Amino acid sequence: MSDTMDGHGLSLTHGPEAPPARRQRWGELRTALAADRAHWRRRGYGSATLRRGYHAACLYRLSRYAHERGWRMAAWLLWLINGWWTGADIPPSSRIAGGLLIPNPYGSVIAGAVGRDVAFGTHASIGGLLKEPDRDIGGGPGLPVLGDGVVMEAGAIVLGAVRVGDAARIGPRAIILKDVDPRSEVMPQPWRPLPGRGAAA
Amino acid sequence: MSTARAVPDAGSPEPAQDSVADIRRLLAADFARVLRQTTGGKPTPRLRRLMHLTLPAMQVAILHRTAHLLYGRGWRRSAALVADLSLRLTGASLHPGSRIGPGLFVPHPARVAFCAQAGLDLVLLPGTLVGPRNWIPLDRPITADVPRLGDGVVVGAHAAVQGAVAIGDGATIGIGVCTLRDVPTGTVTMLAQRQLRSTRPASEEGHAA
Repeated sequence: MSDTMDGHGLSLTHGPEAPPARRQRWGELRTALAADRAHWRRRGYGSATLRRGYHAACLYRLSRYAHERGWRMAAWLLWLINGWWTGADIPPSSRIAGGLLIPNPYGSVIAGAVGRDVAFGTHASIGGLLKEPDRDIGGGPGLPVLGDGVVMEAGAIVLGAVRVGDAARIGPRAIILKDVDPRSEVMPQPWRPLPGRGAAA
Repeated sequence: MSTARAVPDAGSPEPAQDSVADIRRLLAADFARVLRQTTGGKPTPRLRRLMHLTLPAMQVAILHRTAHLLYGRGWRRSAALVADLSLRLTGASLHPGSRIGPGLFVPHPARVAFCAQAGLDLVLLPGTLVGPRNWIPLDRPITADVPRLGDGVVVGAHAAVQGAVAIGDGATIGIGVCTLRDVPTGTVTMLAQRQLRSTRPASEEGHAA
């Protein structure tokens, strides 16, 4: 994970208290935003500049920049503006590499570390912090780490200090509490018909 | 904003567009449904009945029907704007191109995302996700691979219907169920495993796949 994140505007330490080994530069922020726009275009959504999801990525990256410099008030204000304008809760303490795609940002929470070219569907969220808050695998205390090219479908949730491998696909409404292997696909729990009602499926 | 364009798009995927009279008829049916659900058919004073126009269920219905009217005229940006207003006001994001029959009832519109075709008397409970696997932005035309819901479908809380599936008439999608395949007519779906009480402490069986 750590070697893939270099050069994409990420420092590998967490929080402003421990000063990062190398702070993000402005050029890296612009590179990450260009990767975001390229991901939107690659998925067939066209120009990203007027989409709320791209605004969410922009505001997150600005707040991350401020967070790494220790401008806490600015980072908090940008996070607040992000929630108000786009409806996405992306705290500046989470680390997201370039190529973030959130077509419908309203209601997603992204707390943790996210690799390159990750797509989040409607209401897809990562977070945790309640279970094992003292365990840190790189995303923060009790927070997940997503590899490169992970696709989170609508309503998928990753909770806790777990690692989702590169290019994994988390199906709609799946809840992930354990590690996911790279290039695997997780589907939600199957349903069955209520007995005695209607035709059997 | 392309509101000045009066001629509807020739390439609009909606062949039969609704007129204002149709929208009024649909809204009257929605209002009757909301009244029936909230008052239980009891005789209600006139002012109390008018109060029901301000309920979130009616806000969603009014804004969606308006957005659908604009969408049918080819004013997609304006329709997206109205749908976005609905998202801001009520928390329900209904794609303006989704054709919904009379009697729509969304009692608690928080976190509802809908992009599909539906018949009569649709009920969307909170947190439902109905739509194709790939999200269609609100200002893009709706495609043919959206879910098709029959008449009298109830989509339960936090349920999801994803992909080009057909949900039969009178089917009920249970709480938290995610459907990726068709549901036959009249079926009540439920999760295969339900955790009523944790048998082992700190067990994660049945959650992680």
